Amino acid sequence: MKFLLYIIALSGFFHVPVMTAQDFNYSDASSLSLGQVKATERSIFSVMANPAGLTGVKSPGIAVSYVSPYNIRKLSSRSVTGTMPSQYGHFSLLFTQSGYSLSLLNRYGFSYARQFGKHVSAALMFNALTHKLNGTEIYSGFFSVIGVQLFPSNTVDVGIYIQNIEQSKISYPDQSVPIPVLYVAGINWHPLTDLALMAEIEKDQEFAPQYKFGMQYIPVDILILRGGVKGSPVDLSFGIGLNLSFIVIDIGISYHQQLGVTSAASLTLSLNRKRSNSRER
Amino acid sequence: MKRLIAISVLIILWTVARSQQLNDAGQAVTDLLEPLAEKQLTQKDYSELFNDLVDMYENPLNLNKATKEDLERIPFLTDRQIEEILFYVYNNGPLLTIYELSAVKGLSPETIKMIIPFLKVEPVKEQSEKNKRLRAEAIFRGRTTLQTPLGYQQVNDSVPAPFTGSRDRIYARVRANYGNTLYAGFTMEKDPGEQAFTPQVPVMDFLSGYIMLKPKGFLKKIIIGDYKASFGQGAGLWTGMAFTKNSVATDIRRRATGIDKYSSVNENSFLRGIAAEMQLKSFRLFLIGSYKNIDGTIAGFSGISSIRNDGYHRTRTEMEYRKNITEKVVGGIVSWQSNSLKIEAGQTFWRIDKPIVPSRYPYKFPAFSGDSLYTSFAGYSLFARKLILFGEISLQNFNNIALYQGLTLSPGAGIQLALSYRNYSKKCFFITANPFAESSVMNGESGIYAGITFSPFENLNINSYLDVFWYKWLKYRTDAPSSGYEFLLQGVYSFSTGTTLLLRYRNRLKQGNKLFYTGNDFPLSTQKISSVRLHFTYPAGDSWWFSTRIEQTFFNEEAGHCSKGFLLFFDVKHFFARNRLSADIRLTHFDTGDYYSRIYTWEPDVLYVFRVPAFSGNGLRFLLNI
Repeated sequence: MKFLLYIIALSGFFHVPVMTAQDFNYSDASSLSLGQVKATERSIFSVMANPAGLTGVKSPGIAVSYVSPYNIRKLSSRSVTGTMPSQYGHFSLLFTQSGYSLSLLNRYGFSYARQFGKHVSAALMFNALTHKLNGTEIYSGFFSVIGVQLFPSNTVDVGIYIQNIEQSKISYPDQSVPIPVLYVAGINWHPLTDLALMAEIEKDQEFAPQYKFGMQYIPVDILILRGGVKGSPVDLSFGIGLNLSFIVIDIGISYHQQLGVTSAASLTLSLNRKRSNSRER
Repeated sequence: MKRLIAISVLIILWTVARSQQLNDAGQAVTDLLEPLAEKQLTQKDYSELFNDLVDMYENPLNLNKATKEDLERIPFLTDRQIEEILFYVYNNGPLLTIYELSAVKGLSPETIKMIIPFLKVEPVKEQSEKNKRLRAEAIFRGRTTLQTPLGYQQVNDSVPAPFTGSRDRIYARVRANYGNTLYAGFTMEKDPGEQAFTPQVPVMDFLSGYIMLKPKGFLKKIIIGDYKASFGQGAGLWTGMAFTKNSVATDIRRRATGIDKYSSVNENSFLRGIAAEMQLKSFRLFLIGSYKNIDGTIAGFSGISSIRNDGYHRTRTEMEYRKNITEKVVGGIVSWQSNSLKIEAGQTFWRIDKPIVPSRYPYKFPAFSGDSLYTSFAGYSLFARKLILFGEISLQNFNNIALYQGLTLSPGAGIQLALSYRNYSKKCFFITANPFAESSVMNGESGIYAGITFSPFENLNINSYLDVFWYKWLKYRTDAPSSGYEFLLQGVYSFSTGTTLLLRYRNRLKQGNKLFYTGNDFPLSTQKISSVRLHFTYPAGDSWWFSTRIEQTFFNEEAGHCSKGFLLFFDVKHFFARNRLSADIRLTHFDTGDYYSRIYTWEPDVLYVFRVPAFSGNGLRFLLNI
């Protein structure tokens, strides 16, 4: 019974009643609307996926995000992150909370990203997890993320990241539950300044690979249109972004064939600049 | 002491570090060798082909002096490209710099980058002075496992461990040459589980050596010791490894090298004795003689059921079979060559002291039995401007025919076409031959191969082939005559020099016994293996090199077993200290349903070691190579 409770409780974090990395999902609204492609993301929200993309952030900033999977409030997650570019590299902090009062999972992350020359950026991220059950018992775990982004040409970016390479687990009194091990590789082709096409493969160590495709189009500087599709069962998504002066607002919706609609909203506040660069992706 | 030596080189010991250039070549040769590894599952060493590259790397060819035969040793060059290089040198005189290669028609920047390590440009006179230097090289390599595998653990008080030797792998090689005139070398090796320095095996399990003299004049080459021999298209005489179908779809003409020294550790793919090459104008005469002991599986009192070629002598049974047969080979080959035509013909006689007895297994009924084999063969290569015709026919014991015919055509616009036909009698026995084939057991195979290479637009290179094959008789685990095909389509897009994105689709369909079937009849089922590979390679600057591969396989048996396989690796290599030191990190995740959907991929290893392991099951493999 206790084990069952853990599993149900963890579903608030992993979105399904078993722990699968496919749903180890900290998407922001922008990523969600792109079919959850993340490996080549180059925004403040890269910290939630491939932290190497933080090198694309040129000024300090903070951001918040809210995701409501399948519009079930008890599965929702809330994130806040801040990044600080410096001459020594990019430092970033992340806090995410998901679940509800009986099962609350917190993630605390610190990442360091650095650009090597014009063509390579890499990052390392450390994460601590705490899982609060029944409002009293707290269990913890630790995992890391390694990320690399390559820029072989002006129109192509390649992203790779590995989550929990050390294969660590959350320890509960009766057993340990593995934190999902993820291998992700993606490519972003942006033939035009306003158009980007993305493809990505995500492989959980224990499950079949998932393929994702996304497209982003910027018709005018203030508006960003996004769409995407994610593996089997097909998950269709779309969203918009509004680039208003130093604030960016993103809204994304995805539709799962069986589970229904997931919605997300993000807000990014950039310091030291007049308008966010909506073409950063 | 022996153990101390092995442990002291616990993982990898290298005293020589090479430059990044060999890495590029190694990557290219990977494409050639990976398909080979999928078929030759018992092959324990791919270094034979890799060694040839290393030889060329250490003794680069002088382009101003290189002949067509010399350039044919570089596997990355097509016949057409060789013709263009020779044509350029002939028309423009000696090259002044290696970078003049970019002016040669048909050589892409990627090809030039791959071949540069094996070439140099020097005035011919300077080259002759350097030929008088003495050069020697010694390599020692040891490898062991930290854990003691089950095969090395005593089963119980009365049953010893299955393997009789230690779990260390030991390899040592010494090579020396005086210019281009005198070569000598010695190789010894012990596989894990094999004995060494024991009464039964006084030194190591495999010992090999050679002395090769290349005097000037009528006698071109004489080799005493271990050597390899390759002629024509491999249907008559070809010891050692040879490329089969690979991702260069039009690379189907074998480039025989005649006789050459042998320094690899494949324990059966060579000849041991004396060989000589003589030349009179356009004629060449090769004489070979070999006498060595090989392994055979004993059957009855005086015969054997088969010749063992895995080279392993680890268990008591394997030790019983060790070198228990005497093999003799003699032969002669005559060739005539002009600028556009090469003709060769030969005769070999092979004999063992214990006959191979007829098999009781139906699939082996037509297979060779007896103790002697006469092989007569004749082949040709005709080089027209855009067309190359080649072929070979061999006749074994005056009865069984092996035929291989092919052509490559370069009609223009960067398009190359290849077509070949093969037909090997079901009674053929390829003990000293190795022709183009789909199966590793080639007797009874026939097939038609068609390939094309072209560039639809700049930076994109497409390779595709279709190989349709038939088997006239039963095969192992195929209890009826069968057929199949293999199709490959590969596109390589180059962003810039060295940065490439490869997408490959391969589909192989063949027939075999229905899997997991327990009935009394023997139905065949169609088994299809498809694979999709995406590979990205990116050298970032001079000191970083990134590579990523994603591959997925699908095994489908008609109305039967199905499984999927997935492999993903990230490879990062960094060069330090002016390229004298490199560190290679690879992380591989594999997840295959079972062995049928296994995936082969090359892995980084120490210099001169080439490995293509098969991944099956589910796991994570981390590799650090310094």
